[in-house]
Amino acid sequence: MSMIEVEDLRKNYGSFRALQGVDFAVDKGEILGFLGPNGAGKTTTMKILTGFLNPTAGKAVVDGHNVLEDLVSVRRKIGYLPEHTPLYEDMRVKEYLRFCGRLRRMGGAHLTQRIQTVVGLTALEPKFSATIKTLSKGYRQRVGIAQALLHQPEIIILDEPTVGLDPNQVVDVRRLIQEIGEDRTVVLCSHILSEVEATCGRVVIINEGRIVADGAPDVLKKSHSPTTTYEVRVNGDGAALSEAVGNVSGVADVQLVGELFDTAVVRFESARADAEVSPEVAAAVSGAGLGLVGIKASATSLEDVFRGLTGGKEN
Amino acid sequence: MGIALTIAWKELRSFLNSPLAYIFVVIFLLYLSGTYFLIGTTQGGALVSFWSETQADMSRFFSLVPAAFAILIPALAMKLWPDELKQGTIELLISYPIRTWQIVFGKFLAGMYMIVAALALTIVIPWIVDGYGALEWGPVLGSYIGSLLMGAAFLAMGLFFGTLFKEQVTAFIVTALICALLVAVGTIVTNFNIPGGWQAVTDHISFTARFNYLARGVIPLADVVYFVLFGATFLTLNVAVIEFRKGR
Repeated sequence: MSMIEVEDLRKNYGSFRALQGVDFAVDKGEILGFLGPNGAGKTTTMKILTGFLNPTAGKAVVDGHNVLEDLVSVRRKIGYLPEHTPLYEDMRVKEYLRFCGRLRRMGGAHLTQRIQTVVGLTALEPKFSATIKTLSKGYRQRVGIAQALLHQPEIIILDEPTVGLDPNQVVDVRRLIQEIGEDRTVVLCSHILSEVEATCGRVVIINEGRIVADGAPDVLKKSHSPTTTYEVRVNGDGAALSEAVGNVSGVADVQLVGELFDTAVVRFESARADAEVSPEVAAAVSGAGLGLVGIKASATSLEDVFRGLTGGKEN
Repeated sequence: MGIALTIAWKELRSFLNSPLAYIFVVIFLLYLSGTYFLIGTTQGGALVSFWSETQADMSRFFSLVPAAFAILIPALAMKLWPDELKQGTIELLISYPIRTWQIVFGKFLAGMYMIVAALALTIVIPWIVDGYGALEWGPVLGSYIGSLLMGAAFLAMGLFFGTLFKEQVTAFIVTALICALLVAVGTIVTNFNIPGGWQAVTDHISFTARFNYLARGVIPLADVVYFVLFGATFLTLNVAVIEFRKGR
């Protein structure tokens, strides 16, 4: 069953059409990457799901509750980390989490125990009594994630959770997201492709208010560019190399890229699997009496897919 | 109610952590006691202070409250919404399973707590006056009730302007100006012989005129209702503005 269902969602800010009919669904237990360039409509969509904005038209349903009709039920199901992590600067971490719990009508031993759990999960123990304004960006982010997990929500929406973090903190936060995603539904908004590729089982790409792609990262890569580019480097003659490679089945677009002294490099395309095509090419090269130095496959990255779909330049 | 109290706790905490709130309360107290005891208020062209008073009467003291509130309350109110809107914490707050009126009412409660605390600190003054001669407590009680009602009305208006302007300074200036106008309409303006028909209108709007009725120690229902409706209207408008912004 779908936890989140969005149908033909539209949102206008004055004459600017931020969302122009967005459709997608998120299944229970899925980690969905919501990807798009800045200003594509990611945050607007999340703000509609959490009730901060009303849609101009269309429908958004969270676990059977329509966002426009039963917002309080929707909000109970969701833990939300907004972009830029807005927190009450003058509160201590423990006060803040207690405040958040009370707003969700939690209390007593249950709340104390939940606070302990989320503080452990986000490794906030050393800053538990610190005032929020004194925290580093990484710790602030963890406080934001901790409040989103406090009430054990079925759905967690994280909007740009790793912006401004250093590489170590980024790795920590991603690991945390994967842990959370083991038993909950997670929507991760991001414009960082490697992040989405590393953590999400499915990706939705939004551009200029429209969904332009929806699928598993591998599938998206395959459909965007069905062939893979290979480079073969040998000690020997370039023309002989081109000929040898060209004779292998399923190889196309053979080009001599460079020839210097004894070394030659040839590039070709193939739709066949790397494990099949590389050994055949290697055999053909040695058959032609050339000394193989290496074969390198340059895989399509999600970045290529993203750039291709969202109008950016390709390499 | 529990949710509103939780919000009120958060706001109160932030008041008590802010030097500005203390400064304004201290100025409020200094202004009231300094004017009442040392400088005096005008009566028939002459300044009359506590020391030239001929009987135990607090009405001169309470006549200072409306103008003092016109500064104190906008200063308290300007903390409640603009910070929340500017820092974007409202976005996270709204994603919680709570209703907008609970947020608005919680903020209002925190402001009321500060007003009650500031008024409670003035209670020594009637106590001192009572020491010099038997004080009639009825008008004193009426004046406190009137102050609370007027304070609540000002606060509700200040909260509303806080959502409209988002900038503390702008919210403060606009609220203070309108408070001052509502106070002045019954005092300074009456000094310029307004034509008969308009006199009824200004008397009707004036906070001072209504406050003065309450301060006599009788509690006229119409004046209570006026202040309550005034406050409730602005609290409702405040909820409406927040709701309206979602569809913007």
